[in-house]
Amino acid sequence: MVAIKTIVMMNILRSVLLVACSVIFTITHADTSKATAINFPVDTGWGEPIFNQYTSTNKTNEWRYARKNATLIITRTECEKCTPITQQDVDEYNNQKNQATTTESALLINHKNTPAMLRLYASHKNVNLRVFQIYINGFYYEIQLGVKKSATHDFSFKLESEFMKMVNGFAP
Amino acid sequence: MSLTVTYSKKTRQITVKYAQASKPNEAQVIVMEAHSGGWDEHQALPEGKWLIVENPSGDRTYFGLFFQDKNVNDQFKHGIQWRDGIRLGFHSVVGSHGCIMIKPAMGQKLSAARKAWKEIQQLIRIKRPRKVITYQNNENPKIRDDTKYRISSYGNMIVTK
Repeated sequence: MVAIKTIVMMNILRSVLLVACSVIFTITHADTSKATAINFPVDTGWGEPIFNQYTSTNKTNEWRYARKNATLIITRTECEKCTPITQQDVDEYNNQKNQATTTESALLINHKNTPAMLRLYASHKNVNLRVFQIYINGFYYEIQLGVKKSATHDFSFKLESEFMKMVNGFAP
Repeated sequence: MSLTVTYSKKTRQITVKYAQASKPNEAQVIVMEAHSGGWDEHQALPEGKWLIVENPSGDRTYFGLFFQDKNVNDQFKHGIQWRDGIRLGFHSVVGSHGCIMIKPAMGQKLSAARKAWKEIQQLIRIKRPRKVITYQNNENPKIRDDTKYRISSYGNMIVTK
């Protein structure tokens, strides 16, 4: 009789442990999925991104896409103390001392009632960069498109058009 | 007095720490976001010791970084690939073509980040002993150059995982 009771108790304990493990796994898995999910409408031509997570000053998730002659990097940084982008931020990019060599221009835009910055930047490495930055709901988002100057105009215009659609469709 | 310069690929942070021997508890520490690789599928730098030198290309807003392998110069072999022209500098975007590029952290003012980068440059040039070295870019057979160049160096930078 004692042996039967022990077996029953062990089976109950096993069941409880199984349920507990399932619940923990589900919660953990859901959190990971949420953390690595990307809510930008990225064109399928980019393929699958390489996902990275790092904490430089704040925790950042990074999705990096690469294709011939172009790179797309999207970052989402947790930053409770950050403040919305202002005209002063934009002016700093437009009034750099070495403007002649950096050839960078920035613009403050109203993105669905949130201030955002759009930057055009020609790097020394012969890459034309287009950068969109916005701070919203405690997160700092940045989308960077880099297209080699050697790419054809058609290819470059296509990616820039997609970039604008992606920015316009962004709604966290 | 000591000045250490380290770059962590994992956290994407460059840390510059300066302490005087007489005041070890009053160290000046500058930590900035910095990236290596990422653009056009370029890899990050390998871990190890890198010699900080003036920019061989002449632009003093950048430093040159020479990998401390058997032949310290502006070239090195990374796996099966020859690489050259590695620099330490400041850009306003994420990623690089393999160099270490400091950038403003998300939400940081561009002017504040530039100021910190200027302080880093001054610390490296003023607090580190300057040593003139001679080198030849004669490792990569495709772009072999036997010219002997002389350049100012400022000690090591450590790149970690």
